[in-house]
Amino acid sequence: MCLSIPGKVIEMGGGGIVLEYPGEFREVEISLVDLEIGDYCLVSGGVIVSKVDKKKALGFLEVLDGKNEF
Amino acid sequence: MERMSSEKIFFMYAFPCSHFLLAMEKIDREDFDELKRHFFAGSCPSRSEIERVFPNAFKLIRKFADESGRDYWDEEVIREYWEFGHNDFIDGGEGGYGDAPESFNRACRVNVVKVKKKSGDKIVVDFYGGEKEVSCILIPDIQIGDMVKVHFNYAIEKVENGKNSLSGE
Repeated sequence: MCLSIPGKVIEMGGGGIVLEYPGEFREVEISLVDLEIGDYCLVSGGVIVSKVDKKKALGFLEVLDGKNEF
Repeated sequence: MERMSSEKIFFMYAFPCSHFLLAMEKIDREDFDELKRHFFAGSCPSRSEIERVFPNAFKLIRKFADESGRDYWDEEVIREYWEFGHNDFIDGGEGGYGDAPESFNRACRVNVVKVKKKSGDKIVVDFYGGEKEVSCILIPDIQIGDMVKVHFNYAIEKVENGKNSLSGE
Protein backbone atom coordinates (compact mmCIF):
# COMPACT_ATOMS: atom_id res chain seq x y z
CA MET A 1 0.00 0.00 0.00
CA CYS A 2 1.04 3.61 -0.31
CA LEU A 3 0.58 4.44 3.31
CA SER A 4 0.58 2.92 6.76
CA ILE A 5 -1.68 4.42 9.40
CA PRO A 6 0.08 5.12 12.71
CA GLY A 7 -1.40 3.53 15.83
CA LYS A 8 -1.20 5.12 19.28
CA VAL A 9 0.20 3.04 22.14
CA ILE A 10 -2.35 3.14 24.92
CA GLU A 11 -1.48 0.09 26.98
CA MET A 12 1.61 -2.01 27.48
CA GLY A 13 2.63 -4.98 29.56
CA GLY A 14 0.76 -8.19 30.19
CA GLY A 15 0.07 -10.07 26.97
CA GLY A 16 0.81 -7.39 24.45
CA ILE A 17 0.68 -3.80 23.32
CA VAL A 18 -2.68 -2.20 22.70
CA LEU A 19 -2.82 0.30 19.87
CA GLU A 20 -5.57 2.80 19.26
CA TYR A 21 -6.76 3.58 15.75
CA PRO A 22 -9.76 5.58 14.56
CA GLY A 23 -12.75 3.47 15.51
CA GLU A 24 -10.77 0.45 16.59
CA PHE A 25 -8.23 -1.03 19.02
CA ARG A 26 -5.67 -3.66 18.08
CA GLU A 27 -3.39 -5.76 20.21
CA VAL A 28 0.07 -6.61 18.98
CA GLU A 29 2.39 -9.05 20.70
CA ILE A 30 5.74 -8.11 19.25
CA SER A 31 7.49 -4.79 18.84
CA LEU A 32 10.84 -4.35 17.18
CA VAL A 33 11.25 -0.91 18.75
CA ASP A 34 11.13 0.49 22.26
CA LEU A 35 7.90 2.29 22.96
CA GLU A 36 6.17 4.27 25.66
CA ILE A 37 2.50 4.93 26.20
CA GLY A 38 1.44 7.81 23.97
CA ASP A 39 3.93 6.93 21.21
CA TYR A 40 2.76 6.38 17.66
CA CYS A 41 3.97 3.42 15.65
CA LEU A 42 3.54 1.42 12.44
CA VAL A 43 2.59 -2.23 12.19
CA SER A 44 3.69 -4.53 9.39
CA GLY A 45 2.94 -8.22 9.21
CA GLY A 46 1.36 -8.09 12.66
CA VAL A 47 4.51 -6.69 14.26
CA ILE A 48 5.32 -3.14 15.36
CA VAL A 49 8.21 -2.18 13.11
CA SER A 50 8.81 1.50 13.71
CA LYS A 51 7.98 4.50 15.81
CA VAL A 52 6.44 7.54 14.16
CA ASP A 53 7.11 11.14 15.11
CA LYS A 54 4.02 12.45 16.93
CA LYS A 55 3.64 15.52 14.71
CA LYS A 56 3.64 13.41 11.56
CA ALA A 57 1.24 10.90 13.08
CA LEU A 58 -1.23 13.58 14.14
CA GLY A 59 -0.95 15.20 10.69
CA PHE A 60 -1.77 11.86 9.08
CA LEU A 61 -4.76 11.28 11.32
CA GLU A 62 -6.07 14.79 10.66
CA VAL A 63 -5.98 14.14 6.92
CA LEU A 64 -7.84 10.89 7.41
CA ASP A 65 -10.43 12.70 9.45
CA GLY A 66 -10.90 15.21 6.64
CA LYS A 67 -9.73 18.04 8.86
CA ASN A 68 -6.47 18.85 7.15
CA GLU A 69 -7.04 21.45 4.49
CA PHE A 70 -4.44 22.52 1.93
CA MET B 1 -15.56 13.04 -25.30
CA GLU B 2 -11.83 13.39 -24.72
CA ARG B 3 -10.10 10.16 -23.81
CA MET B 4 -7.82 10.46 -20.84
CA SER B 5 -4.22 9.29 -20.79
CA SER B 6 -3.05 6.54 -18.45
CA GLU B 7 -1.13 9.15 -16.49
CA LYS B 8 -4.20 11.29 -15.98
CA ILE B 9 -6.41 8.39 -14.94
CA PHE B 10 -3.83 7.18 -12.45
CA PHE B 11 -3.11 10.63 -11.05
CA MET B 12 -6.70 11.77 -10.55
CA TYR B 13 -7.32 8.78 -8.31
CA ALA B 14 -3.91 8.83 -6.62
CA PHE B 15 -3.74 12.54 -5.77
CA PRO B 16 -5.88 12.21 -2.60
CA CYS B 17 -3.06 10.14 -1.08
CA SER B 18 -0.66 13.07 -1.50
CA HIS B 19 -1.98 14.74 1.64
CA PHE B 20 -0.85 11.73 3.65
CA LEU B 21 2.51 11.63 1.91
CA LEU B 22 3.02 15.27 2.86
CA ALA B 23 1.94 14.68 6.48
CA MET B 24 4.44 11.83 6.76
CA GLU B 25 7.10 13.89 4.97
CA LYS B 26 7.48 11.32 2.18
CA ILE B 27 7.17 14.30 -0.18
CA ASP B 28 8.02 17.91 0.55
CA ARG B 29 5.82 20.96 0.39
CA GLU B 30 7.12 21.91 -3.04
CA ASP B 31 6.26 18.47 -4.43
CA PHE B 32 2.81 18.61 -2.89
CA ASP B 33 2.06 22.11 -4.22
CA GLU B 34 3.04 20.98 -7.72
CA LEU B 35 0.80 17.91 -7.48
CA LYS B 36 -2.05 20.05 -6.20
CA ARG B 37 -1.55 22.55 -9.02
CA HIS B 38 -1.86 19.73 -11.56
CA PHE B 39 -4.88 18.20 -9.87
CA PHE B 40 -6.83 21.45 -9.75
CA ALA B 41 -5.87 22.33 -13.32
CA GLY B 42 -6.95 18.95 -14.64
CA SER B 43 -3.45 18.19 -15.85
CA CYS B 44 -1.00 15.61 -14.54
CA PRO B 45 2.72 15.19 -13.86
CA SER B 46 4.98 13.15 -16.12
CA ARG B 47 5.07 9.40 -15.88
CA SER B 48 8.47 9.43 -14.15
CA GLU B 49 7.29 12.04 -11.64
CA ILE B 50 4.20 9.99 -10.89
CA GLU B 51 6.26 6.87 -10.29
CA ARG B 52 8.65 8.82 -8.07
CA VAL B 53 5.87 10.13 -5.84
CA PHE B 54 3.73 6.98 -5.66
CA PRO B 55 6.23 4.11 -5.59
CA ASN B 56 4.17 1.82 -3.39
CA ALA B 57 1.10 2.12 -5.60
CA PHE B 58 3.17 1.00 -8.55
CA LYS B 59 4.32 -2.11 -6.71
CA LEU B 60 0.67 -3.12 -6.59
CA ILE B 61 -0.08 -1.99 -10.14
CA ARG B 62 2.88 -3.97 -11.51
CA LYS B 63 1.64 -7.01 -9.67
CA PHE B 64 -1.86 -6.43 -11.02
CA ALA B 65 -0.51 -5.99 -14.58
CA ASP B 66 1.73 -9.06 -14.34
CA GLU B 67 -1.26 -11.19 -13.41
CA SER B 68 -2.65 -10.59 -16.91
CA GLY B 69 0.64 -10.25 -18.76
CA ARG B 70 0.13 -6.61 -19.63
CA ASP B 71 2.24 -3.49 -19.43
CA TYR B 72 1.66 -1.68 -16.16
CA TRP B 73 1.08 1.67 -17.87
CA ASP B 74 -1.48 0.23 -20.27
CA GLU B 75 -4.58 2.43 -20.10
CA GLU B 76 -6.88 -0.53 -19.48
CA VAL B 77 -4.64 -1.78 -16.68
CA ILE B 78 -4.71 1.60 -14.93
CA ARG B 79 -8.49 1.85 -15.40
CA GLU B 80 -9.05 -1.66 -14.08
CA TYR B 81 -6.72 -1.05 -11.17
CA TRP B 82 -8.89 1.80 -9.95
CA GLU B 83 -12.12 0.01 -10.96
CA PHE B 84 -11.51 -3.08 -8.88
CA GLY B 85 -7.81 -4.04 -8.57
CA HIS B 86 -7.09 -1.52 -5.83
CA ASN B 87 -10.15 -2.53 -3.81
CA ASP B 88 -9.34 -6.22 -4.26
CA PHE B 89 -5.88 -5.68 -2.78
CA ILE B 90 -7.38 -3.90 0.20
CA ASP B 91 -10.11 -6.48 0.74
CA GLY B 92 -7.56 -9.26 0.41
CA GLY B 93 -5.43 -7.71 3.15
CA GLU B 94 -2.41 -7.48 0.87
CA GLY B 95 0.41 -4.94 0.92
CA GLY B 96 -0.09 -3.97 4.54
CA TYR B 97 -3.85 -3.51 4.35
CA GLY B 98 -4.25 -6.53 6.58
CA ASP B 99 -2.56 -4.60 9.37
CA ALA B 100 -4.71 -1.51 8.98
CA PRO B 101 -7.98 -0.81 10.81
CA GLU B 102 -11.22 -1.07 8.87
CA SER B 103 -11.82 2.68 9.10
CA PHE B 104 -8.64 3.29 7.14
CA ASN B 105 -9.30 0.60 4.56
CA ARG B 106 -12.79 1.93 3.97
CA ALA B 107 -11.47 5.41 3.28
CA CYS B 108 -8.74 4.00 1.04
CA ARG B 109 -11.08 1.99 -1.17
CA VAL B 110 -12.53 3.62 -4.23
CA ASN B 111 -16.11 3.76 -3.00
CA VAL B 112 -19.14 4.24 -5.25
CA VAL B 113 -21.50 6.36 -3.19
CA LYS B 114 -24.52 8.61 -3.50
CA VAL B 115 -24.42 12.38 -3.12
CA LYS B 116 -26.72 13.54 -0.30
CA LYS B 117 -25.88 17.22 0.02
CA LYS B 118 -23.87 19.81 -1.82
CA SER B 119 -22.37 23.11 -0.77
CA GLY B 120 -19.87 24.92 -2.97
CA ASP B 121 -17.01 22.54 -3.75
CA LYS B 122 -17.94 20.08 -1.02
CA ILE B 123 -20.46 17.28 -1.06
CA VAL B 124 -21.77 14.96 1.60
CA VAL B 125 -22.04 11.33 0.51
CA ASP B 126 -23.42 8.13 1.96
CA PHE B 127 -20.56 6.25 3.56
CA TYR B 128 -20.85 2.79 5.14
CA GLY B 129 -24.09 3.54 6.93
CA GLY B 130 -23.05 7.07 7.83
CA GLU B 131 -22.01 10.14 5.90
CA LYS B 132 -18.77 11.68 4.74
CA GLU B 133 -17.86 15.10 3.43
CA VAL B 134 -15.55 15.15 0.43
CA SER B 135 -14.31 17.65 -2.10
CA CYS B 136 -16.07 17.71 -5.49
CA ILE B 137 -13.58 20.14 -6.98
CA LEU B 138 -12.98 17.74 -9.89
CA ILE B 139 -16.66 17.43 -10.77
CA PRO B 140 -18.27 20.79 -10.05
CA ASP B 141 -21.49 19.90 -11.89
CA ILE B 142 -22.21 16.96 -9.60
CA GLN B 143 -25.74 16.97 -8.23
CA ILE B 144 -27.58 15.56 -5.24
CA GLY B 145 -28.68 12.05 -6.11
CA ASP B 146 -25.73 11.38 -8.41
CA MET B 147 -23.43 8.42 -7.86
CA VAL B 148 -19.73 9.21 -7.53
CA LYS B 149 -16.47 7.40 -7.01
CA VAL B 150 -14.70 8.61 -3.90
CA HIS B 151 -11.12 8.03 -2.80
CA PHE B 152 -10.21 9.36 0.64
CA ASN B 153 -11.42 12.97 0.79
CA TYR B 154 -12.21 13.53 -2.89
CA ALA B 155 -14.94 12.66 -5.34
CA ILE B 156 -13.11 11.71 -8.51
CA GLU B 157 -15.57 10.68 -11.21
CA LYS B 158 -19.30 10.64 -11.64
CA VAL B 159 -20.85 7.28 -12.40
CA GLU B 160 -23.32 7.75 -15.20
CA ASN B 161 -25.49 4.99 -16.61
CA GLY B 162 -22.98 2.46 -15.31
CA LYS B 163 -20.08 4.19 -17.06
CA ASN B 164 -17.43 6.68 -16.00
CA SER B 165 -18.42 10.05 -17.40
CA LEU B 166 -14.93 11.34 -18.16
CA SER B 167 -13.56 8.38 -20.04
CA GLY B 168 -15.93 8.39 -22.95
CA GLU B 169 -16.24 4.62 -22.66
